[in-house]
Amino acid sequence: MGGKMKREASISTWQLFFFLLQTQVGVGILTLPYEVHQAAGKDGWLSILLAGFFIQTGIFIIWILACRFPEKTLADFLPLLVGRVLSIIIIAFYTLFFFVVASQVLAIFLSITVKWAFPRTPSIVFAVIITALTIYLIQEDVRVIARFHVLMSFLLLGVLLVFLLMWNHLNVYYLLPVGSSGFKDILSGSPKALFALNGIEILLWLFPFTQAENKKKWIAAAGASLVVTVIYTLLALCAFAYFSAVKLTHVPEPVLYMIKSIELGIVERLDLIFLSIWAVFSITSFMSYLYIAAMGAAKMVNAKHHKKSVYVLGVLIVPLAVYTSNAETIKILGSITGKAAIAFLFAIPLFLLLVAIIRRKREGTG
Amino acid sequence: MPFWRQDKGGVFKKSASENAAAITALTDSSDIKQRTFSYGKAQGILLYVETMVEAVKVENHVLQPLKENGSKKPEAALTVIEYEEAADHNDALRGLLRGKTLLFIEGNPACLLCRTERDTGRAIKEPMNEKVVRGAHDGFVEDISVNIFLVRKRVESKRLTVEYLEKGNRANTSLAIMYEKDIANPELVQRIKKRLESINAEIIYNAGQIEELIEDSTTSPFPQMLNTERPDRVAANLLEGRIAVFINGDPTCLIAPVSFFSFYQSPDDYTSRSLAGSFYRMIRLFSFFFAILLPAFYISVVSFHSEIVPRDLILQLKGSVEQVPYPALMEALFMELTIELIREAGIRLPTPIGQTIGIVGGLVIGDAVVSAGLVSNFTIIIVALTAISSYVVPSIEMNTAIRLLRFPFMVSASLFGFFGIVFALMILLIHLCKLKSLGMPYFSPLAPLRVKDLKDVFIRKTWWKLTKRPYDSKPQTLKRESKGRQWVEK
Repeated sequence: MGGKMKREASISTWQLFFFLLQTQVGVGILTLPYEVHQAAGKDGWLSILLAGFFIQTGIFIIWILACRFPEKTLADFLPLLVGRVLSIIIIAFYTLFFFVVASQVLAIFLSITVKWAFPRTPSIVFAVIITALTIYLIQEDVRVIARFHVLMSFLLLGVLLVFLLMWNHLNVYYLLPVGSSGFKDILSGSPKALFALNGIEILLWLFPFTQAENKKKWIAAAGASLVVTVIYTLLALCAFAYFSAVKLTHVPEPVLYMIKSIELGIVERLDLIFLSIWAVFSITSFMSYLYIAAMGAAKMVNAKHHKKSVYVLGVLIVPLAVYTSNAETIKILGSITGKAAIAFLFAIPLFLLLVAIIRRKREGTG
Repeated sequence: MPFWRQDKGGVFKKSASENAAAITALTDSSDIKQRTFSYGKAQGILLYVETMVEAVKVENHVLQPLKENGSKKPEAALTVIEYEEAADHNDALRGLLRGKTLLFIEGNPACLLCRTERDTGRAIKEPMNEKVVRGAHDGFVEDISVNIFLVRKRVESKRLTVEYLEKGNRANTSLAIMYEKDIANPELVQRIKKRLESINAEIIYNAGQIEELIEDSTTSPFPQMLNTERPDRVAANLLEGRIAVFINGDPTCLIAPVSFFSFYQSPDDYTSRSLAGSFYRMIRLFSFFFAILLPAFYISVVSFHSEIVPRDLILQLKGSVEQVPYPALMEALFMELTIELIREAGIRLPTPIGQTIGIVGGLVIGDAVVSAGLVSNFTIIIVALTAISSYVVPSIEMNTAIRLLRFPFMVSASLFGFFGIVFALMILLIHLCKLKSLGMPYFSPLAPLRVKDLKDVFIRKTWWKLTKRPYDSKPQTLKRESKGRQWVEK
């Protein structure tokens, strides 16, 4: 480990932007309004904004840290900061975290799919197919993955279309008075939003692969996060202004129910189309997480290429996701990873940054 | 390795008859003719393959002048358009087999190769499968030099470079690569040369064989080299920094690197007005998705998501489908395969019978199959639309790719409905993102996204706005040497 490595595959700022965006926009689209509503009532959208603000701070910390080592991934610069043993432990934790998050994304995807569209198809079938096509992509280098993520981002237009179509059906009075739930409830809703907005930690891996000035990388990361926060907030606002507070407690996938009510004349059930778009977003974030997990795993065993670890993790993740794809487990694991995300987003990078400042480590000084 | 390089050729001796005997010892065939004549005081021998040479040329430009000008040196006497001295026996043999006449003079340890080939090529005609409404109507022929001539005539540039290669271990075939020296990326030129030089085949049959030997992925359904018989298409691609490969004996020119979207550009887009060109370009690209997705979409609607259909239509749809005892996949597969049968039969048969087959296949089967209750009439509509849209793409290679691709989509849709389509589409797009043509990204300029280059992809902007070459071939100079509409007063 260590030493200046030649990065053959590099991505542009825009590719970084969409990579992060596709990682963040995921399974949460459908359920987030319901989840934040449970905690913060009709002010749940404020929880999302708050979570978005948290994440911006996290990005800033990660950015300052990564700027000290612009040519190195987390796995490369960790040994310089905390020594070999501790660095392997930290990487192991990150890898485990990304692996579990990936498995959770898949589990949530499976549970919603079974509930909403394919009640009689065993969920292992979808798990295997999705993992297979994920492996097909993520065994490639970061550049190909980024290209694919950029391509898939055109589907965001579909989400925008939903806002347009919902416009006439919204009742703003459902939202008023703003902030009446109290700060404590709003705060308690934000870890749930944090899980949906999660994913920016992969910047620690992608930073050196991006060819741009450091400042532009920060703009890309912050911009991606901002766009995702805005999309989620708008979706939540739509859902809250469409369903009354009482109704919302009965619809766990408010976005789908909301879209279901739209009638276009050409397409009767728009929700089925939206579900397909959502599937793509879920799969892309699954891809990103599994890719970073595989990179971490490959680093831990000192493998030259992440291809083999992709296969191993792919085989492991299918049973894990299928086993955890019931509502109870998803809920428990979700709250754990939501809290763990805080550690991986703020605590560890902040700790590493402090170590770097105190020990005056920069790239080249190690 | 070609045969004349496999071993060292013998050297020529002073005796003409010995030299001629040495060559005829290497090849033995009854159409090899040997003629002896007197050249001044010495004796001369001509050796040629009767079936390969133009008899008049041998008579008028080789034999007669030599007989009449016995005092001159043979080089000065000959009136053929071109001659060269053979290096050794193998070199002479190679010339002989190509239709050259071998000239030996007694006392002179050398062999002159005189150009007397018979040139019987077919006329230059518009290619059958790349017809255009407006614009040039010439097309390549089987002769490589005619093809190069057709392109050179169009691109009168001093930097246009042609490089020849000889391939085929047993039977020799000439290949030529052509590129604009100061536009094409030298790394890519080296890459394609390296790949071509590595070819180790007994014989080169056609362009398809070359393509398979040098393309990046042979398992991909997509063609990674553009096959064209149109000189104007080659010329346009050369100026975009791409490299053309000509094969003697095949009217097809291979162009690399290309992107997926090159296959959807037709010369017609550029001859028609920009607005119309853009419209038809979009129709064509739309037809790609239509051709691979429509049957899959229909199958998933009928078997999974019929609630998506508007109320007024659903009764008719269900009513028509309910009468058919088979699942939608079987219906669609049956009809798609029937269309493929009709197509394949139509190609092989002579034109008048081919039309009959079309009528019998299309009208009779189509009508009877519905009234017999084997297939619903909605399926017929879908299959017909799919068939039409799969033939819209102006490249026969891409057309086959599309026709093959719709089958996995249909199967996937019948298994998982819309999700099946999404999965299949994702696999397709991942594949397109991974695929490379001569090492360059195949799905450019969409992946990697390059917004600047999109103006000649989904639309065709006006000529004078296309001032930059597309980036996917990494040209040396991105800027074109053109400035448009400078007469407009600002």
